[in-house]
Amino acid sequence: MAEVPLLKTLHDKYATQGLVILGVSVDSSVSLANRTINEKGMIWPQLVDAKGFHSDAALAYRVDSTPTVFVLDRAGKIVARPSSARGIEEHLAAALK
Amino acid sequence: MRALSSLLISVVLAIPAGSASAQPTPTAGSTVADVRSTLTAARAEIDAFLAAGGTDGASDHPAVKWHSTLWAFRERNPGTEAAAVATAEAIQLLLRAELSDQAHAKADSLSADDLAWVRLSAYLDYEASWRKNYSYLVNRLSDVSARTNDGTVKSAALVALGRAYRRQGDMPLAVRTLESARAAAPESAPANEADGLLYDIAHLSLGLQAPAFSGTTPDGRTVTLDGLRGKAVALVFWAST
Repeated sequence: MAEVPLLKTLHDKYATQGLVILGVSVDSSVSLANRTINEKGMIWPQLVDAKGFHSDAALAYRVDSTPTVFVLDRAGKIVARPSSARGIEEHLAAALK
Repeated sequence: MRALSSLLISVVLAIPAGSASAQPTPTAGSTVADVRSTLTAARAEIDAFLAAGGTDGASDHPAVKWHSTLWAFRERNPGTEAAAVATAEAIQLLLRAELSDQAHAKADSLSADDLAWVRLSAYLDYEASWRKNYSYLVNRLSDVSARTNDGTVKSAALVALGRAYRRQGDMPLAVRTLESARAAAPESAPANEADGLLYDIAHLSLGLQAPAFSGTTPDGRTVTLDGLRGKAVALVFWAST
């Protein structure tokens, strides 16, 4: 999860403005996911269903590779599908409006 | 151990590099595995050519002769699955070497029922999206999908067309084309791909309400997307490795 430092920066900068970074692990083991979350310091909310690409969320968003990123606005509409976490920040002005 | 494996790798790489000026030996055998091993050798030589300063688009690109090797395999094994793979991969070698005119001429020589179109449709789609030029793809695959008698070929050609229309922003045409792709060969790989793309367009396009879901946090709480309404959300799917 090479993009953790970037996500941490986004979390620190935008959480107070109303951004929730929601991580969804596609690991098939809860203990593996939890170890990564603790070791890397992923301090934002995480879903760890240990169902790989077959979790409720991964199926609904047709995720078949990682990272897969969606940016949603306050009304729950999809505003961007950047190819990695590096593409999140440029869409936050629109998402936080 | 590391020194030994590097040595072995250099020896393996030295074989195609050392014979760079010779014609590659004809692909022996008649199976898909034989095509794959030829491709491995081709890619090693192409990598060595590029690493030594060779450029894509050059007329002395090793893709040209390896393409001929694969084409000869096709002609020795007509009508087989292995020939279809060899044909598509031969043209893909030219596409990736940025020798589009040669690649397109070879594709033009194929009949609409050639099973190579199943793979080749996807390769033309990659090429077109990379070049941002869809004219060849749209012309050729419209013709193939209209004339072929093979359901899977038709479905694969329509999937590539549907992807192209979608990238060009024509959603109604993309949806109609993908629906035809799904109907052309139910349960085939391209039909399933069309089904996935139709779901994506219907549920995951920009501006749509994001699909609902719920999941469990490490401490056992249930989180739903609806529960986050009023917040902006960056949804990040990730894996440990």
